[in-house]
Amino acid sequence: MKDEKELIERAQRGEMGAFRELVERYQKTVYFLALDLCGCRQDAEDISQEVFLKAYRFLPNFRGEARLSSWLYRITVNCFMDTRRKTQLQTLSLHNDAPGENHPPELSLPDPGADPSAPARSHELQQLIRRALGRLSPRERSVFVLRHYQELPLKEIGEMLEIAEGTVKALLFRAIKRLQKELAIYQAEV
Amino acid sequence: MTCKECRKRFVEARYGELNAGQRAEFEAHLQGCAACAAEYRRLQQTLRIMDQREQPRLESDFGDAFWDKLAAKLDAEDAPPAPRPPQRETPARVLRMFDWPRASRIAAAAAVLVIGVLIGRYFFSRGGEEIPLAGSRETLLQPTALEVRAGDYLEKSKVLLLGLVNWEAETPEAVALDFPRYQRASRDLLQEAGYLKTALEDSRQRRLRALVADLEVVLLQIANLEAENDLSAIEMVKTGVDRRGILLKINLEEIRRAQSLPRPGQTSGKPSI
Repeated sequence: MKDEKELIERAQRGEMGAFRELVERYQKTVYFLALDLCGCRQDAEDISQEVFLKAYRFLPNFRGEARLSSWLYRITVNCFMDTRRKTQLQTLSLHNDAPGENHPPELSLPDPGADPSAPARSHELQQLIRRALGRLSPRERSVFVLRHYQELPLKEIGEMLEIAEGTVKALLFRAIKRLQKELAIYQAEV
Repeated sequence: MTCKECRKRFVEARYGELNAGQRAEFEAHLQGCAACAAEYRRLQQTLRIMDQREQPRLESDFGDAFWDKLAAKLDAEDAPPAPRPPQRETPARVLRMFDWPRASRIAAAAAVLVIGVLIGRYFFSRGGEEIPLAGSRETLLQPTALEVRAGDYLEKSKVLLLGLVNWEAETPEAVALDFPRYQRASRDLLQEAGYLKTALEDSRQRRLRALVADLEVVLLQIANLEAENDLSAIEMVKTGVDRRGILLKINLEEIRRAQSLPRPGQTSGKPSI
């Protein structure tokens, strides 16, 4: 694997091949992060495209003080927040109980690549998890996804989202309590 | 460790962000507190369910398709803008094309010019209509006449302040501020302020008196500015006007006065001047 620093420098000089290598290295990570955040494949693709467009535009300003992955995560969360603000993505929200607005996340549709013989229970569980995530506020969801799935330390999340570490903890705790409530039925069954 | 403190550490404990000492303290509390232990177990159980979240399998050509789409967008960004068909110049389009920062500077400069003219008219070209200054009248005016005089004072002060707050030194369109004229006008208004403060003391117009006093401070600053090139001092005056909300207060006072004046044809119980 080529040295990332060297790739970044070449991309900063305008070498499209180097930029493409960086995109290939991170496109899945960014896409999956966007998917966890917005719960919808199409939106996740749009967000991840936007992330790399922004990365291309602002790469000359990237000084390498943070890891490239952290920088991309930060852009992803910002893009998600922007998209959320602009288009009011139709994900579930606890504060958004108006009729017609509670569409289940798109991931509840059968995954074309999924094994058709997979147990129905597993499919239900995936739906339940996505729905529970969709119930969190964008900030709670960002903090939860970054800590739980991306395994970033609380301090780093605080720096990334420009909020105090204490606020990250509070948001994360609130997110988990809300998930607990959402998953209560499932927990009672198991 | 109290139960409250323990629960505050649930998140850090679950994600391994407690140091050894904190961890030992946390675990010791859980050992002795069934309620906290149960609560922590429930939290862990929830997170174990969330761990079962699966990401969908991506199509084999995901990477290439993603790049192709992105490359097309990058090309579109780099390409020079395609020539657009001629468009009819609608008013909205003309407004969009307008260079607003430049336009606002020009408007500000124009405002200063107009206000300069107004200052000249109000303060220096009225011959016999000049405001009688403090002490030039032997008796106090009737309350309504006093209000008219106060209104005149407010209007002149407003014109003067507008000229100052709209003036920007560092713009190419900036016109020279007629500084000596502003200072003379300020000194005249200060004398009037002194009179009004005394005259309004007996009336019930506390708000108007407070406004006159506020204005007096600003006018004093203008009258005492040492040099017209002292931009920081001018900025300080502008900030003072802004911070005290003086122009807004003058506007409100004018509205209040306009509402209290009888309309043409309307009979009023108030004595006329």
